[in-house]
Amino acid sequence: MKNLFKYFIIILFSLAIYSCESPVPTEIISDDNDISQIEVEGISPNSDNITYSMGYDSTGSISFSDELGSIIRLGNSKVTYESSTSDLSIAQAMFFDRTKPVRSSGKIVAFHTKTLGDVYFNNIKASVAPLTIKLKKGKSQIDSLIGNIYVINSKDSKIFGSGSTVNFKLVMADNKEISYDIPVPNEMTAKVEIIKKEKKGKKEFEFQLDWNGKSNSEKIEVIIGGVIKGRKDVAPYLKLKLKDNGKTKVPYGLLKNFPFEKHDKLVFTFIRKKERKQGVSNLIGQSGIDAQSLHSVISDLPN
Amino acid sequence: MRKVCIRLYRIFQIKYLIFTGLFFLIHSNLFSQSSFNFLTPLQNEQNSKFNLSGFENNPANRSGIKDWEFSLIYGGEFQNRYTGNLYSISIVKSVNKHNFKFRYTPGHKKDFIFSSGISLINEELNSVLRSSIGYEENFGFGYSYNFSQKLSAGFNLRHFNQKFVTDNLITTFTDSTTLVSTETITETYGNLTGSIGADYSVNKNLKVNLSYINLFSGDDSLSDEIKDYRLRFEKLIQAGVNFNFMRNFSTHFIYQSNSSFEFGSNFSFSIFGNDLSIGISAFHDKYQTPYIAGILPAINYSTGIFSFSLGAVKYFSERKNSYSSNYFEENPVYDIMNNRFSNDKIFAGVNFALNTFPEQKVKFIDVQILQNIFPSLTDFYIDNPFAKAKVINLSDKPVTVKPLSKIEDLNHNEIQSPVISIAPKDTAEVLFYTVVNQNDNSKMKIVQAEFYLQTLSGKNDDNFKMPVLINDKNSWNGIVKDLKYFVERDINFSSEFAKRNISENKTGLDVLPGNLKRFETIKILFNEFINKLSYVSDPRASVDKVQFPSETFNLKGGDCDDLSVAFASVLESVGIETAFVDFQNDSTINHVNLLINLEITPAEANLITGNDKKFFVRKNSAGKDELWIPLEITSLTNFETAWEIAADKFQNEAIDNLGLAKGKVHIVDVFY
Repeated sequence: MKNLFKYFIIILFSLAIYSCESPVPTEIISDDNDISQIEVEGISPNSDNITYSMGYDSTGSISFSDELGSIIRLGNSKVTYESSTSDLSIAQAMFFDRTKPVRSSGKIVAFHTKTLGDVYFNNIKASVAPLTIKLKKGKSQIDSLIGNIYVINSKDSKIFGSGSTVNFKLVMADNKEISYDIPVPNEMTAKVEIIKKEKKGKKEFEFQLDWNGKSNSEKIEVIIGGVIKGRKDVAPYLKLKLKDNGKTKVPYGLLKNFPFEKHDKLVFTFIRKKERKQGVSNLIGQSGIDAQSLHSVISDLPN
Repeated sequence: MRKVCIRLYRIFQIKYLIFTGLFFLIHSNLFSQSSFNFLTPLQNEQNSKFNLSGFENNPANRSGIKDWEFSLIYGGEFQNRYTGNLYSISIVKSVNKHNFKFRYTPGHKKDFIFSSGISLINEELNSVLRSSIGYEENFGFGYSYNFSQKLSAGFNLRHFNQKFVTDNLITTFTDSTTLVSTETITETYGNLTGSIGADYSVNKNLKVNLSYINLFSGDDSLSDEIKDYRLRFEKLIQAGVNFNFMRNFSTHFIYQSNSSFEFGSNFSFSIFGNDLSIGISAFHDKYQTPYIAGILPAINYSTGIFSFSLGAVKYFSERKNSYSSNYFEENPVYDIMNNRFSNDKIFAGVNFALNTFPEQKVKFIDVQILQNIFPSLTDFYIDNPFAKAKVINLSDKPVTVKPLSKIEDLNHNEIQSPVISIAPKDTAEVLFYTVVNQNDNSKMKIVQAEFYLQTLSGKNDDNFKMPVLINDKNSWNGIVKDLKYFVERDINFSSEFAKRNISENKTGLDVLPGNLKRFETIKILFNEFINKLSYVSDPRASVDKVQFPSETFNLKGGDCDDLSVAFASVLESVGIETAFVDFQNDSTINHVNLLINLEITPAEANLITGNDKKFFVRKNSAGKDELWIPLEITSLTNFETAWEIAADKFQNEAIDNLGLAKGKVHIVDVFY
């Protein structure tokens, strides 16, 4: 009897030690479609991205990648504040001289650009303008001219119709042409609404974001920035990647600690973009081509 | 009066139970850890020594455990893949009428995980914000008290933990950067619940129970954010009934006041000498669909000390890996192990009953003294029982019983009687034999006889005391054949007498032929015998007394029994065969003569007598005829006269009046 008891206790404790495997948790999926698959990324208001002199509306920010010889960019942009909306269509082309890097604090931050001939977007000739970028110097920024940029700025948002294809053409001095089509994403139309509520006696707020998206496979970006007090500059803080499904809710926790006291307004820039890289020619190298449809909604502060 | 009191007490008990039940029904807020228990379908009379019921279906903690029990349930469920866990370890201890149970339940848990849909991306990590809810039962304690064999009542306390873990976004905005991180908030709540109940056996086949579940459920101070997701502890009345249709087939039904119920049956049979039970239960859960939400098939094999169980839970509705948050909010969890989100399970259980107390397997029903003890009849009681008992086998297995007895002043140790085997639940007659040590009691007395029943465990299962009369040493039971005990007791004394007289007459005897030597020896011894003794009739006729030969010589006389015994002892001490002739007259007093074997053949009869009516021919063990002569010991004149008188009486009563044929005359060999 004593032996049986001993063996029983040994078996019992062996099982106890080796058999503890927690059951798989049952997954509960949120029915709240307003919060669906948000990827949150913090971005620095003074990032290494170079903001060029055309002002920040996301089209003015660019990463000078080591591999790109040129950047071709199309954008249909809208800016809404309260009931007023202004449109802007922009087409830009930059051709880098990769032998002439621009350094800041010893680090290559850009390349000087070069002028190769005439640039056309849908047969509309782009004008050549000086390209100035903001370079950090200590704690401040200084404007620095790095060459020219081909640009079309139009208040007619229809010239590069959303959902259409825009033809890019570079005609060089020797009449050689480089041409290809750039598909333009559908127009972005968004709305931002502040939802105020009270939870356990504390005032909370959320931002309800609605836009004209219907796709669960495509993604859009929403950049949340603030208009710095006393300036027109917009400082970006957060980048959200969302399914292009039309709506989401920015949870309270995300903007709870936002420095509202340093800003006059909030800016939510909705970006639907199509981008690709294309090796065009030895002359202009690999092109970074992106076409964006943007809508910047300027919102009052929640307080 | 006592019967009336007992009846009133029983009525009061039943009424009290009904009243208590009604009280709870009226005062309960119908919200649990309900009756769902893995081994419910298996409990029956055959494996009742094991506690297969958990707190879930046995809030009153009723127990058939005699001493200790250790049990373990290992289980697993199927969700994507099989995961196994140790569901519970239990220890049960019974002390007299108190039963204690402790249960550790590491596997009684249910976890939910919520995906917020928010992912955090930075250079170092890509994390998804999640929340989780974990319900678990940690341990439980149960107690019950057996008021009687029919009624027990008790309670159980169970401790639960609810853990809510929430990932929150923390965004830090500085002039130079925006940092997005997470913080995890954990809230843990403990709940101690208590349930009470009572069990009542109406009769051997019908048991009922009534319980109040979740009488209290402890901490309910959850924050508003998680209150809707808390584990619910529903207050319930639970009533159960268990009925044995036949010995091997039982069925049970458990009903709860929230209209949930469970019912099932089990069938048991014996295999390899142990019990195999097969059972199945089905249950209706108010909070699950379809109406019969699932079944619990199970099988149990119980040996003497081990009980092994295998079973499963099969739900009839589809069980998924994920559910919507709305569905979760609409279907709170009332039972960790059995809810809408539970998956099919299998489990294995083992119970180990350690009984350090001997379990009573047999019991005396009645003991009867068959005859008083005559101390002189030393080995008489080896073949003749002095008592018999009616004994019942209480167990459900055949039992081999060793009966023992000890008579005060007569036995130094217990005397074992032949072992007997008694079928399960059967009764049997047990005979008690004894051995009487040499005893010189001069007075009869009443002493206690102790009777014991032992099973093979070597310990007494039951004992019984009863007075028994021990007669004095000279008391005789009136059975002539039992006079031999008086003959043999003083055989050494008689031998000395016989040899001395033979020696004194050696010269005369030596010259006689061999076939006359024995006859002459008898004659010499008889004549010497009557010279020393005289006949005295027995004054105590109501109870026969017989003197031992030495007493007869010392007292110089005795009655016919005393003298016959004394002279038979003298002859037997020198190897002369004797027999008592028992003349059973109509009168109350019998008469005893002696027959003496001359060891000569009928052809040699003329050497001693010419009268063929003075001897009697008997066959010896070899089948050879031998001459026996009768002798009237009370005729203390001379040998010839005593022979003559005895021969006449023998011829008349035994032969002529057919006494031997009719059974009125018996010849009883002293030592056969």
